[in-house]
Amino acid sequence: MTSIEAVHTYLPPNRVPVGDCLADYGFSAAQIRMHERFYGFREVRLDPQGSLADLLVGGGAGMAELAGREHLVRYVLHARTMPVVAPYPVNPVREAARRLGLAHATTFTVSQHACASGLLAVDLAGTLLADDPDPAALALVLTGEKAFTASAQVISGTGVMGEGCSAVLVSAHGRRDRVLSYAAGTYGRFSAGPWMSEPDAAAFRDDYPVMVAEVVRAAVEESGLDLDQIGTILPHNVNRLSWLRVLRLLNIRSAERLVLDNLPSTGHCFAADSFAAYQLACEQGRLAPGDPYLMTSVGLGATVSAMVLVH
Amino acid sequence: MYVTAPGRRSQTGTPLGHAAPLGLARAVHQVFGPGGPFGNDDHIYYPDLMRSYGTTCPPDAFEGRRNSFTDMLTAVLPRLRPYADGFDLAVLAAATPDSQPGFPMCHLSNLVPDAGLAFAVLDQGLVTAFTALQVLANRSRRDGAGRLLLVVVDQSVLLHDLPVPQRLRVARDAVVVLAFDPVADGGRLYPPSSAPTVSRTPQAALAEALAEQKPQVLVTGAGLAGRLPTVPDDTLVLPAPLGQPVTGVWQEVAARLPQWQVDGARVLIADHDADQERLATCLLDVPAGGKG
Repeated sequence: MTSIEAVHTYLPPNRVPVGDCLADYGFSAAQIRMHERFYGFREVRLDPQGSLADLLVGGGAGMAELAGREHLVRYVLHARTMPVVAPYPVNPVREAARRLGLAHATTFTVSQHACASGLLAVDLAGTLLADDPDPAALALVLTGEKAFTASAQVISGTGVMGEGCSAVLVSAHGRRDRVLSYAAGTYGRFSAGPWMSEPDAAAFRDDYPVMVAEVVRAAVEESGLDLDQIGTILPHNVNRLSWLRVLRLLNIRSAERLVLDNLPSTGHCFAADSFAAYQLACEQGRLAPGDPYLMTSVGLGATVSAMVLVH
Repeated sequence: MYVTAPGRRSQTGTPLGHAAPLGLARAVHQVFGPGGPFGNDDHIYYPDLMRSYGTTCPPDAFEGRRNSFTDMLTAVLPRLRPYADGFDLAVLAAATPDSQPGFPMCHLSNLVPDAGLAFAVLDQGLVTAFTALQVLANRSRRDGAGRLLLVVVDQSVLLHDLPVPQRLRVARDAVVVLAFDPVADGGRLYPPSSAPTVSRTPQAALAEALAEQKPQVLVTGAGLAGRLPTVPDDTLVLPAPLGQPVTGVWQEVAARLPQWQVDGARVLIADHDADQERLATCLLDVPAGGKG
């Protein structure tokens, strides 16, 4: 059964107030206050001098559980949000794999689910590893990207993007953090993503909680559990208000199940949020062995995904 | 919506070592003309991207025309019917980036009435489509996904002046789509094999694959140009058209398939990517008198 062996999150040291980012893209003082006070964003990490490959290497190189096991890694997957991230044929994920001592692994990018690509990559890695005759075989999923342009820095009314990389070590036969279910729904009428017309963007904002609740319910049902048994939700870091609407639809009264603690200090780190939240939840002692929990993410395009795991 | 429980599926897959073939139902290809103009957002996205890599878009970069992945997919889809009316899994494979930063595989769910899971596999250079096929075969085994689409694209717009190796240069926009169905009898495509070429040459790796598979036809991609081993006299070699680094071999397959379905053919499709240090091969067994 697909499982997560380890997670390590790297954040560039340079902290930038979200007000500075938003002002750069023409947001008014009132809009900036809205993002800070109501949506919960305070600062993001950016590394203007560092490349995407540097960022991905930061995630993998800091993972203690990978050291000495590089030869077991069969696949390196970059879970990609932005549709185009490098001038052809520059290949950041291949460069990262080489620098991590993983050149022998099959290296590729999983794309088109945008920020929901992380959960897709974990599911895909587990399925591919299930075909490997060596039960010790591993896959390294790398999440996170550069905020190099307006559409990669701000999603108006939703989130301010920060740089960071969560590296996720995946096994097909692990005993902890086993994947019980995975659901992904694509709502193609919003496929223009950040380039949607204003009426479509408004419709997306209206439909958003319904879509998230629908996919979460499907994943929980498939896991054989009840939503009440899910004590911890590891979401993507979009504005707090939108999460409250989702919780209401799911009949979840307490927002304490949500681990959104990273949001003020990292912003929305593309496909990395759920994994960074997992690391934080472990550090805070919010996950005990045997606890079921939920990861969820929404990608521009629009794909919603949810995964139920047991710690 | 795609929903799965990995614990259940891992117990129901085909036993390890059993490489079940995919039933080829339809293969279509299309080469495109100049296409449409760039959009306003492209004038922001691509210059910002190039700037982040310390380069710029050429001054006339957006004066030309382009065919985006979405344009190409939308154009070819009607020719796939009825296999375009529903799928369990669709995977897009490309080495080149899209000329419009978009989400063509999400758009697919607008175009296909019964759309399943759709995503893209990128950054594998010349062997990208082979890896996408591996994913499709893997999901077919593990998830029971039967109706599959492989979408392979090349797009020719280059929005920078950085060097591109000859083998990776794209001369024309092109798309190839292979549709698979469990009951189709248009050919059996076996899951791809991948051989590292770190400690041996691509020629040696391909010679081994030829000896093992004994094909009647060998279709070779751009990465094997000028790097073929000695091929048996009774094996027909078909090099992919130049300027289509990823679509080339599959276009050759799509174009020849109708005749192969009359005569029967055992076809080995092969390419090598120097950056990935891999030879990828894939066996297509087409029965005489077979059809989609």
